[in-house]
Amino acid sequence: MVGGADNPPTNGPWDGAAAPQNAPAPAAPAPAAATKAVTCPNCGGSVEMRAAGYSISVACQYCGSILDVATPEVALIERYNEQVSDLPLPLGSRGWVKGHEYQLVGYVERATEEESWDEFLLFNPYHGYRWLVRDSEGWSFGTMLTSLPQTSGASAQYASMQFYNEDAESWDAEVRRVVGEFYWRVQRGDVARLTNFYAGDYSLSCEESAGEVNWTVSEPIGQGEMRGFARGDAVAEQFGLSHDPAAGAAMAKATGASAFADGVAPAKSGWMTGDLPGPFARAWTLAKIGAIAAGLMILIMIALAGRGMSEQKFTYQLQLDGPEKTLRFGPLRFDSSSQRVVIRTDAPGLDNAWIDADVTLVERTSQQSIAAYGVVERYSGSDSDGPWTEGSDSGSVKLASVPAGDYDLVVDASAHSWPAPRGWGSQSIAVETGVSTGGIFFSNFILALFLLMIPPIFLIWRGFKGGK
Amino acid sequence: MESAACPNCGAPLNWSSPALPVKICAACRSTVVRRDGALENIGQAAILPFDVSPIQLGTQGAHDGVHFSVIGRIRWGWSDGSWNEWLLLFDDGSNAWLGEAMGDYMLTRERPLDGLNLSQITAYVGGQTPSVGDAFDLDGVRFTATDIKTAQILASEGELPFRCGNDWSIMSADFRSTTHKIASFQRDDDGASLYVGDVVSLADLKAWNLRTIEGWTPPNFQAA
Repeated sequence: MVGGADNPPTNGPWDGAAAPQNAPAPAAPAPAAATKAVTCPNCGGSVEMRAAGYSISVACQYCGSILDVATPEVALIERYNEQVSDLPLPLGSRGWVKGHEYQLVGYVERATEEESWDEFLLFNPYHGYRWLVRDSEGWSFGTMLTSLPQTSGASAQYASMQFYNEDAESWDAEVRRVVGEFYWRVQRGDVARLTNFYAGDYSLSCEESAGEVNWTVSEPIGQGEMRGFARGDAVAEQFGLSHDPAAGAAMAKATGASAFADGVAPAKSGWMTGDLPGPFARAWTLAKIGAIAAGLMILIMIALAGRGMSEQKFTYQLQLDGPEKTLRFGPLRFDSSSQRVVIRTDAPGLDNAWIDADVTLVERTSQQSIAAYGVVERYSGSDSDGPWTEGSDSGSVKLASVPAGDYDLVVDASAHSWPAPRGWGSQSIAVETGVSTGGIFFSNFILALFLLMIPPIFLIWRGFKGGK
Repeated sequence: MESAACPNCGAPLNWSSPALPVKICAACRSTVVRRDGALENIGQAAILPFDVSPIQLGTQGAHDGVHFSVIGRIRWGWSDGSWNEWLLLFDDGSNAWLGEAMGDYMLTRERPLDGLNLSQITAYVGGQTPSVGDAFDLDGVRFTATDIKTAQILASEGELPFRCGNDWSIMSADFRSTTHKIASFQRDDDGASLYVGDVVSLADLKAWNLRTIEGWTPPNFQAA
């Protein structure tokens, strides 16, 4: 055998097309791409569409031109040649509002004769569209209605709430500025008749234009119910979003779900409640203390374990011997002031190959990063002793004390075959990365338990001795 | 599950529903029709345009306590956009459509027109074009027309209850109500049909086996 018995069999390039001996286990299908790039026919800029299939029109973020993307042929609707200035919140940025993550896909500045305000279109492929509105009153969160409110003159009823427009006022609102992608045909200068009904901090707005009627319900955004979207502290402060790290944990707890959310409960608090185990009657004092201490330790352990974020999983594809990929996943929210984070990388079916996976946790506000290097490798073959394997298709890195915050996980990964590139057929490898927190050091716990138990055991031993 | 080989490319075709005659081969996109036990290839289906829908063939869920799987899809297009209609096969053998437009979902079932006795619907069947604001009462709910359009099939996949040629065009009218109930009236050269159902969310359906979209974490709707 060429290469000696100790080496894995060489896969020559001519083997590339043959049926692989160790076919990769059927892995989850590759994640669908999240974006589609279209080229602005006016300025040639590459515009990233984040809601492909839903979006109808795009306002180019470079020149402001309005494009029709309803069909695969991108058409120029209205040509503009102007420098699009920075938006109050960046297009494509992500954040959390009322318990769900959204990406900012569109921005409209609208105005009546009296005032102007900002509307940000948010999108999550699993939860659909929402609005983030900023006016002189502050921020509010809008959801398009799928049912019709019952209206009678100056009042409207929706979701068993009564809304009023006492002065029966309505305004013409005009689109002044538009950037991003939208699920309807949008144009600068579009005018809609706007009627608002109020119920405390909540409001219902009715927009009428060209025979179309759309209703939106708006709710206030409380302190800590909105996080992210901004790139840095300056922007965050400017828009009144608190990013005080000390308030981080409290904010996370305060994050409630939208009153009109689609049924998903906000993340449960991990704290478990329970009675302390009662002291044992007539037990030795030291044993009591020991038991209580052990009980407390168990409770703290349960609490810490419970507080640990359930594992968040991300999947991606790597081309074997292909270029390195950089992927960003998130946000990952860590609530404790300091936690242990485990980043797992699994490549089911990986064989005679290794994956370099550099993982970096980047805090969104401070941009501080914690980096680690991971490798997953598995080789197999057979020699005179029979088949062998080395390594594993799974690996993990542990980061000991990660401070609280909202993080992105940045993965720089590449896959390499060994010992030789496998010819032309490029093979795709499905990789799953999981991030989890918590995980206490059990060895410390057992040691502490042992030390705590020495005095009572000593006493028990003495008691038995005395009874003889 | 019934299996056969695609008459065009030989790839296996598996039917989940014995009642549905049409299947689009996942390998070669041939539209295959079952007739008297024989398979006939009636042509190529168009390629689905890229979208970020969270649903895929094989997505599961439940509605009114009955489990379903997504087995087919039609993508409709009109002058101002496009939307998906996903075909759901329920464990009780029935099927329904899950319409997906603008990030909202509508689950509807066909309502036989026989014995409906609604003058408004009868007029539509007879050729009258609905207009926004038209209303009718059904099951104690007032349905109001909010959207009328002419749509064409852009592409399709999976199992379907009818052949859908790429030039097929329908008139579609959407009706909403003050509740989650919705209705849709559709008419083409061959006839008319009424669909009645609910506005739902993926959370309501406890949907799982959703499509994974790069950079997003699919929510666990089953735990909610």
